[in-house]
Amino acid sequence: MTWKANRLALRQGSLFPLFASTIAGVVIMTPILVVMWRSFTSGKLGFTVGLHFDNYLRVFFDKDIWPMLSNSVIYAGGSALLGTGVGGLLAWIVARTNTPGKALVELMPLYPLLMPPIMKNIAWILLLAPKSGILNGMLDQFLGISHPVFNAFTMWGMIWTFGIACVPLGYLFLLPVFLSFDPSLEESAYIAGSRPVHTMLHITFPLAIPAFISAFVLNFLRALRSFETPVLQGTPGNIKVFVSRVYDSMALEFNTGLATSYSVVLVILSVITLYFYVRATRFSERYATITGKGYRVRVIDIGPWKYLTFAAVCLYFLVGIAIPFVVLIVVSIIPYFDYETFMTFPAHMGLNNYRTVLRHSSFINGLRNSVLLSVVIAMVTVLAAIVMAFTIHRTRAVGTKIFEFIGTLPLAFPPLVLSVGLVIIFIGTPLYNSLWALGLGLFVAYFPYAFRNASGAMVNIHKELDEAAWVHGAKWRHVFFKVTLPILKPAVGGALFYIFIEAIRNVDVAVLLTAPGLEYGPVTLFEYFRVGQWAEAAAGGVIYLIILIVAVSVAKFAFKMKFSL
Amino acid sequence: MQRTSGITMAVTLAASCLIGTALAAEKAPTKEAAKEAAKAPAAAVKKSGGQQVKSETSSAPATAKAAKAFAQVSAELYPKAKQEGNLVVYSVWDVEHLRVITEAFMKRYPGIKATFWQGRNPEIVTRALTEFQGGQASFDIVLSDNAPAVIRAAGAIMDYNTVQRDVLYLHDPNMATVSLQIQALAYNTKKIKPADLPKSWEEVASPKYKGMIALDDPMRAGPLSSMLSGLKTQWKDDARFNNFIRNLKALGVPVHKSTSAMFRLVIAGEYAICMPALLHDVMEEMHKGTPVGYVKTVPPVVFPRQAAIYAKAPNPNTAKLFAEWLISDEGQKTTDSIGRETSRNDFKSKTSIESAYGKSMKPVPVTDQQFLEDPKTWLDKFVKPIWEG
Amino acid sequence: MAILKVEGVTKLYKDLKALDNVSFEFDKGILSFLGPSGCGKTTLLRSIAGLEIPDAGSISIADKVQTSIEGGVLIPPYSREIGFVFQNYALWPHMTVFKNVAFSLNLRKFPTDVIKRRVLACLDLVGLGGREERYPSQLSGGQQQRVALARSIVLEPQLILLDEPLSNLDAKLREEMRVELKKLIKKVGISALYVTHDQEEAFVISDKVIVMNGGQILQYDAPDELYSHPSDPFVASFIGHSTLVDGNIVKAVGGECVVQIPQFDDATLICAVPRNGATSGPCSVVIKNGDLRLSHEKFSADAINVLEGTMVSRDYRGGLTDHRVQIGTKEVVVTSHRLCPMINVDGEGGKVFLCIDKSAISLIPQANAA
Repeated sequence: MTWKANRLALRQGSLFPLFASTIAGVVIMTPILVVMWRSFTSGKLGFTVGLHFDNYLRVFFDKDIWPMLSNSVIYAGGSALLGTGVGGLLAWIVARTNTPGKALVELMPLYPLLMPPIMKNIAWILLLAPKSGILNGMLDQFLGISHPVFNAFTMWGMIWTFGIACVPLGYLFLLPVFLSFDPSLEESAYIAGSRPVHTMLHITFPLAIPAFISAFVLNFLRALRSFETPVLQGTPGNIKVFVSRVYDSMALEFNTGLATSYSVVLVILSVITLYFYVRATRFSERYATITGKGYRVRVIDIGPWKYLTFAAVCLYFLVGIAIPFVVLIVVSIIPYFDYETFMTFPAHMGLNNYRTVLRHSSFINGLRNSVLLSVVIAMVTVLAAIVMAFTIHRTRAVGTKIFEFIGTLPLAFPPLVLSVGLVIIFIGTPLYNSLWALGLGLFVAYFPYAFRNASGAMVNIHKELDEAAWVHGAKWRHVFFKVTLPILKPAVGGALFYIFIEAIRNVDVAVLLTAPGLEYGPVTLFEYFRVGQWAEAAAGGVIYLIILIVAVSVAKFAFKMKFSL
Repeated sequence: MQRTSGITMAVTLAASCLIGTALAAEKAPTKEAAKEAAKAPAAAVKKSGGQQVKSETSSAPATAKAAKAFAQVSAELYPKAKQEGNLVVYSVWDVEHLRVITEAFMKRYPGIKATFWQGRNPEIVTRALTEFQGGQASFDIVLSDNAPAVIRAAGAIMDYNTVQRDVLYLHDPNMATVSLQIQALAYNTKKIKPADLPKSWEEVASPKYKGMIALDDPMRAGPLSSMLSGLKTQWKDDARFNNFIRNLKALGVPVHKSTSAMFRLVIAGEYAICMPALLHDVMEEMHKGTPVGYVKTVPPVVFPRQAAIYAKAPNPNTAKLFAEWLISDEGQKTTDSIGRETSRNDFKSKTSIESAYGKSMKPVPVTDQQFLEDPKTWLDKFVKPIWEG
Repeated sequence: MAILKVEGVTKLYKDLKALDNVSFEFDKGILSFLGPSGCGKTTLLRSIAGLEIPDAGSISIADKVQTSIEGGVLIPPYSREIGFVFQNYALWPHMTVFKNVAFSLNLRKFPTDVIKRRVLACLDLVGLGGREERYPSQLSGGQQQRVALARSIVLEPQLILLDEPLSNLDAKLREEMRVELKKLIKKVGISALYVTHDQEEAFVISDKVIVMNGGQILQYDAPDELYSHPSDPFVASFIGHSTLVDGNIVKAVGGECVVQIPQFDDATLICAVPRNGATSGPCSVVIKNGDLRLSHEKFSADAINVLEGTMVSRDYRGGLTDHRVQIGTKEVVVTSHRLCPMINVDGEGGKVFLCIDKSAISLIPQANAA
């Protein structure tokens, strides 16, 4: 379009979304730019020393980072692929097949989300450690295989643990796509002689590509920057991943500037992955599964295979939460953990660990603050993210693709680096040490999840639905609130649920932004994980999980609340 | 959270503030920091008294003298502290432990409100120094192991020499040592017979233990690196020191970045020997009947946990009072009650060196100022060339 | 008053000219944009609705400027007071039929009872009375189409825009719907722009037709004019039911001329001179398939334009039959009613005679075609 036409176009329903997105973009970018600026200007311990490039020189002349980086890409790519793939498959099973036990099947892939990643790490180490692992012990005891089969301290072990933890996100992102799927798209393939599996691979899944890539990018970046698995499983296996450099620059040198410089490598990686995303979704009409043609959402009768799909969902439920959970419960009530003691269960039971945890008065006190804040943050973040996705996909403003990058960028930075940025911004203002700053920190940290979700989902809605509203008298806000938002409901529900669950247990971002004297739930809740007392940690985790599982199940069955469907 | 109703508006508002303050905030500390940068080297040069070691149990008169000194300083500081009215503690300790300690302190000194913030060492250092550069009078005292020396080296600590110095096991004339971190050589009693155990730290590096050792990462600011620093100071023999590291490396065993995870794996039987474990963890497990033990003949490594007063502390008198109280008999009892090692050499507790190792044990104190203040540089200089070379 | 005036509208997609300096005016009634896919007809319709923004030109609806790139005017789609029916209906899946139709009334804050009255009346009009509480997914394709139509007319706009509205329906339903659609639009008394690639549909529905190709308007005429006097070989071939050959005007007397046709072994045909009055030069000859007579016997001596050919095939089409006759190097299609006694031809390959009525021929001078 010519410049003149562009300018005219901008005035039409693009200005407010663009304005709102720009504000959200600025909120996100400011802490990032601040830490970036400081990575050029600050030296040891964060003291300002004037413009220099030492941090970057160290990063780019660090000859050790290449093997680390390739390890990282294998680890992150592997677990993101495993997680998103299995998540997609489960979403397909739940949404498109007549698998029995609908209400349960729907919810089973979501429960693992409730278990914090570090709990899963510990449980899987207990299960898969080569000499002391429960599974290896069982193989030895019952099958006589004395050579350890499983090893948590390998690349496969890492990919397994983190990949399993990536599944719920893939599930949440892909479920809405499959749920709103026009069955005629599949039926026409069947008529053309395509078998169900062939159809699934060639028709159903390609249409889910935007949502799949969205979930993949998120899982990939999450894996790249998370410390738990590399520290607990990688280091003992002598697998060095890139994030340990980021970790060391903070834990050993207390240098956020250097940590930021190392994060820039992650930024580059995420920009590359996002570039493919933007390219893949260039012709968004290709992926529009929600058209304005009314259709009945029909599930496919897969015959006796439905028992297999049911078993698949149950299998994921088992490895995703049930088995680790049972292990942790046992660990929390036996006097100490080793294979022999574990197998003597239920002898030697004791509830001492629970007494210890429940004696903590701050255990429950802090929960109120974090629950309230998480609810508000989940709502604000999801709303802002949808507006940004709307700006990219639905308005005529030029260059909005940049938001695809901005909206995902916070994920490339370790939470501590992000919160340092916010601390610098807020220090000296009345907002410092307030819940507002904490809320903003959580907003920045979780925006990418909400945003990638909204962006992926919006690509699946045919533009005509918006245009129909537009020509029939709807201004942008009517289009947004009366058409886009209601149609996005399944995706919105999923994102709200996900961010709420994540934010409620956030420690990494929150820790620097929490005021002294403020009882903030997660910090106390996950205390034991941080200090590494596993038995007490398991007890605390079990209490936390039981509360959440009961809450989610009650909400689901008693109030018929929908998390994703 | 009462104001949740207007949150959308406030977020928008905050966003616009944010844009404005972002640059301003960057500018403000720049000027300040320019001064600090000039000051920082001075602070580093500022001769630290260094750690003074006094491992033999103090005599009864010394104990009485300390008690008297505390009574005096307490009487002197309390009225001023009461006027200040508040105390903000930054600490790495467990929230529940901090709650017990601050409540005991508030009970002893009514009229003072003590609050705390808990974070890990990198978080404490980052927060404290960012606030220092931002000119914030935001807290009074840091209670931690690794952080105080680093923060002091950056010039953000107000030196304070405790009046009860004569009864401290490890004493730093600038920061009160209120507790100790004691590292022991621990092992799984099911996996190794007492006769087969190493007799010294050095023997752990013997090839016969290959595959049995859980080794802490020597290249992180963790227990193994502080042990190395302690041994280096004690041995004063570079060849022996280098050889030790070389032998550790020759074991070819994986390293761990999490002390507690490593200890749990030793209990689980994944490894037989824990190099090293924290004494109070070992004691606690032994108390529960877990099959672990520690080698009583291997000298423990002792690392100071300090209460350091912030240079811009808004309540300096309260901070001093708090530090003194932590060393006093009552403070030490409170510390002991939460399972932390006490710092006085005349205080009897389960985890004191005397009761754990016997009177004659000569521990390995970590006193190397360079290591304490800048572990990265120290490790790069003394450990890295051999470990990674 | 012209309901629609389009002047110099140009729209570029990268290097491709989707619309190339398009100008026309339209008074009232139903106007179709006819052309093959990619000819720019949908882009033109969307530009009129304001959904696309042209790079140049202006568009006025009911004498009110809606788009003027040069004049810096761009009325947003929601203020253009038009109705729009999308190809895929674009019904909002989360709203009932009632809410879909009531959408524009709700936005304009009509009182509830007015909305109810108008929506129900409108649904009755399209034959969907009693189905207002259904969701789009509970309706058949034809019913969804009617909902989309009801939604576009409920506000009683002066102009509604329909983008291939019947293309998703099966053939039988499509034929029914187009008649009904026309009746309905006439009954409501509004003007309509209708995009289609189906010439029959365009002819049935519209008062005027614009034939487009390559982003340009080729011809703008009433359907019968378009059929009998195509001004462009492309128009003739697109409209179909005719055979197109190249010819050369060799002589002109009075209103008639003689055309020589190389493809017919240089046979000559007598017909009316082209509309631009050209009396010589190359031209395209359009022969209407339906206006030909076929026989195995020679026609009477006074019959003109009689050609001899070979029967190639005969395709039965229900009410009509297409006969393919080879004349020279060209195959001519003759469409006739089945019962026509003159063409009792047995088998294929037989010799036949073809009589081309003067009115069955129209000439398009090549200069025009360029």
